[in-house]
Parts: sequence; structure tokens; C-alpha cells
Amino acid sequence: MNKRQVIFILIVALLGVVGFNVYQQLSQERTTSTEPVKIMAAKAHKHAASGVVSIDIKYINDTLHLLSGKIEQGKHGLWYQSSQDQGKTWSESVNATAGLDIQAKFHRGNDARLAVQGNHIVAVWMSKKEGVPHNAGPMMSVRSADGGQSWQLATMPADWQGPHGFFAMDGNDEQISLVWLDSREQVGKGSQGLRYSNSTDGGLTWSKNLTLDQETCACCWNTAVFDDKGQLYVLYRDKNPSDMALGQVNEQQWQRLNTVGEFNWDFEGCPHIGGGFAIDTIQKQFHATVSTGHEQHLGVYYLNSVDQGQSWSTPIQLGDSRAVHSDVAVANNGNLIAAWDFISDSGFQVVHSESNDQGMNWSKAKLLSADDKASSHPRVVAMQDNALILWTEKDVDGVHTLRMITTEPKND
Amino acid sequence: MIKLCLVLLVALVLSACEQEQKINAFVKGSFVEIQQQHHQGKPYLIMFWSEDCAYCMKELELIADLLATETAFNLVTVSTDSFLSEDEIRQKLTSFNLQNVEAWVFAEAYAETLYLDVDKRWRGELPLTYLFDSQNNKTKKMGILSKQDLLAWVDFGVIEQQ
Repeated sequence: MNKRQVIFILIVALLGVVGFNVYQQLSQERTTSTEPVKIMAAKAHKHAASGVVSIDIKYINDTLHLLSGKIEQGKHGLWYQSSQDQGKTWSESVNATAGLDIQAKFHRGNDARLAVQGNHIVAVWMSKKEGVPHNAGPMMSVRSADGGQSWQLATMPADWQGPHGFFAMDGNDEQISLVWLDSREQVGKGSQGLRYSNSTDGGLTWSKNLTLDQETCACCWNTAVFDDKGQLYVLYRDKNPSDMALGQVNEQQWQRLNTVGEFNWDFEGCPHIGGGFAIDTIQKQFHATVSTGHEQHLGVYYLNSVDQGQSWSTPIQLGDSRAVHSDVAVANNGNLIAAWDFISDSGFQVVHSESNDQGMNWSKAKLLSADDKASSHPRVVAMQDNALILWTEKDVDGVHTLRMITTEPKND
Repeated sequence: MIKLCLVLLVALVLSACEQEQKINAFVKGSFVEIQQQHHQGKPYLIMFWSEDCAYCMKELELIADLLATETAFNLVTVSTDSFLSEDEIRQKLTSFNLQNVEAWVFAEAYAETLYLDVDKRWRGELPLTYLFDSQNNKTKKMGILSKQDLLAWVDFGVIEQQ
């Protein structure tokens, strides 16, 4: 091969490379529209969240306890506040994770949770771990022994070091109980199991973990509530089918009571939807809101049980096929307050409805959220004769803000 | 000298071939746009996924394994995680050897509005896969695709309809 031949080959090859690049560029341009609005969207596609991205609330002995998970300047933190006047005024925020590098992975639907036992308050959340599936790490915990004024890193309740998430926690005078999902013993494709532990010393030490259900939804939030006899009830999304179920933990013994809403939704995937659960200790009734993705039954439903969860009423549809996340609470006077979100053309919106006849009839749903923001994942906490409804709203810049309203007391 | 030139030339050609995977912005109308672009006689899948969805990871792995030996269909991936950077999406797809497939990411400020745009009855459940045959006939699969379903669709163009 002489020099001329080499130069010729080089020129041909270079032209080929340039041509290939131009072709690739044109091909990629073809895959996206050149309309200005779409180019803008492409440049700004990353919607990093900031503000309040996680909430939990408890009402105990006339005090509201609020845990807010925030992202500020890219850093996660948990903040505690209380209210003695049913949410009219709040104590100054205390950073429960001050000085800790918590690397959290909480968001709405997988919120950090809190529970109260006397003056002890415990908070748990999922940590973020780089380089592992879903960046999901083991749970972390902080506790306060002085009613939330000061906080310390606490013992991890789980006795397995893998990732844990989708926590639910409740407390009474004797103990704090915690349930969560982890995959320590996978029994199905992408499955997680429902685990349990409790602490009788305000989160200092935790019991040996108990598996409540080996195979549950892998990505749905759970709800845990103590009754007045100290029995813990857990509402969770089961598998095969993916309907909601209620179970009971009594002295370290688990009993699955029944399905709550038998829609027979068979779904091998991630719904990211749990339910709401409340106990009326006076009327001896259980109340639940559940959501299903079954094609023929899409929506949010209300059900009740008069035999401690053994059987459930026929579901009453509260929200139509666009309704997704819900919660319910029962006030001391027996009034029920339910809230849910639904997908509108402008994003999630939050509505609420009330019933003053043990769930037989419900008021027309009332819009709570602003229609220029996306508002989702409402929580309802009953107080004396009314309720506090909380949700988070997001603006177009990804800034999340906590919103709340107090319902009007009804004594009819 | 000639050998050196040839080595440089090969390196140049290889680097040109290793173009970074383009991550397209999935906005209202993109679902229809993708279908119009791909309506060229070759079957394809549009798969919606999230990094938090274990089933999605398994389905990506399943499809990637099949694509390694099967060229009868194309794959279009759509990440519903608008908070992921383009590099994070590339890394995730590359981990399945899917660095050459068409990739999109949700790019509306309110992701749930895209659920409605894709399907009035979709509320964000994942994985969600649409399978299009050579005539652009659409089959919707909510939840993970089984290997059996995928092979049946590749061979016969049908799966058990959802």
C-alpha cells in the first residue's frame, strides 16, 4: 500500500465518520419534536423534589404530633412539631436528625413514621444506599425521651440488615409497635414480606422480628393502629390477589383476619397504594378506605366491620376511577372523615367527604386543594369532634409544601 | 506510520460509534408521537418503568435478554422517574445492556397528568407495557410481562389480553 492509497483511505474513512455522525444526529432529532415547548421540557426534565416530601401525624391525649420529612438544599432531614390546640398553633420545629448524615429515601407513599409512648417519641425511615437495587437501605431510627425537645440516634428495630421500607407505627402507654416490608425471605417475583417488632422502653430496645405475612405488595404503604385493648391491627396490601387485608398482632401472635374489599385484583407489579384504617372504640366498629386497580372496579372505596375485622361490608365507592390515595378517621362523636386524591388534567387534587351515620351515607366530596398545584396523599387524623386533614402540594418547580385544614365539628 | 494511522482511524471510528444514548423528554402527546414514528412495519414495545419498581427491573432484564438474540422487535423505554438525571437513566439502562434502545423520561412537572395522557385508566401502576405488532395494533399489559407472554407475542403477535 503506497502513501496515496493510505491518504485516500483516510479521507474516505473520515468522510464516513463525519457522515455517520451527521446521520446519527439527524436520527436523534427525529425522535423528538422540535416544537419549542418540548425542547424546553427536555432541558428541564429533571424535577428534583424539595420541601416537605414526607409526613406522619398522631393525636394522643389532646396533643397533635407531626413529623415532617424535608429536603432542603439537597439534604434530607426530619422535623418534629406538636400542637395543643388542634392544629391552630404549632410548636417551633425541632430538627430530629440534626447533626446526622441520614441519607434518607422517604417520599409520599413511603413516608417516615412516628409513634408516641408517654414522653417517648420514635421516628423511623428508609435510608438511601448507593449501588444497591433501588438505592434502598436499612431503616434508621431516632428517639426522644423528652416529648420531642431533643433527639438521639436510636437502635434499629430490624434484626436483618437489608433494605426496609413502607413503615407503619403506633404507640400506647405500654409499647410502640412497628411494621414494615423487607425481602429477607423472598417467596415470589419482586415480593416483600410484612415484618413486626415492638419496643416497651420507648425505642431503646426492640423485640425479635416477627414475619406477619411472607408475601405482600412490595411497594404499598401499611397502616397500623392500636385498639383500646392494646391489640395492634395492620392494614396492608396482600398478594395473590393484590387486595387489601387486615390482620391483628396480639402478644406476638399474628392472625390474618380477612380481605378488606374483595375485588380479586390480580396484579404482578407495583401499585404504590395502601389504605386508611380507623377504630371507633365507642361504636365498636372498624372503618377502612381502600383503593383497587381492578379494571372493572377502579377507584377508592369505604368499608366497615362490626365484628373486629372478621367480615366487611359491601364496598361503597367514594372516588371514581381517577381516585388513588385515601385515608379515613373517626372522631369521638362517631363522625367519619375520609379524604382522597384523584388525577385531574392539571395533576393530583385532594377532596374530602364526611359521614355521620357510620359510613352508610357520605356527603358530596369537597375539593380542598388549589387547582394550580399537584396535591396528593392526604392524611386524616381525628381529634375530639372534628379532624385535621393534611396533604402535600407540589408546584411546577418541584417544591413541596405541607397543607392542612381542620374540619368543622358536627354534633348531629 | 501507516499502521499508526490505521490504529488512529479505527479508534476514531469506534469513538464515533459510541454515541451517548439520547434521553428524550416524554411530555403530553409523546405517547402518540412514538407510535407514529414507529409505525413502520416492525413490532415494538413501549415499556414504562421506575427505578423503585422491582418488577420493572425484572421485566427490563427479561426483554434485554431476548433482545440480545432477537431482532424482530424494537424496544422503547419510558422512565416515569422525572427526578432522575439523564446520566442516571443511561446508567440504569446500560446495566441491562440496553444502552442502544430508544429512551424517554417523564418531563411534565406533574407526572400524573401523563398517566391520563397515556391511558385514562392508568393511575401509575408499574410496569406498564404496550406491545405493538407490525400493523401497529396495540396490546396493553399492566404488571410484569412473563417470558411466556413475551415469547408468544414475538412468535405469534398475541398475548393474553389484560
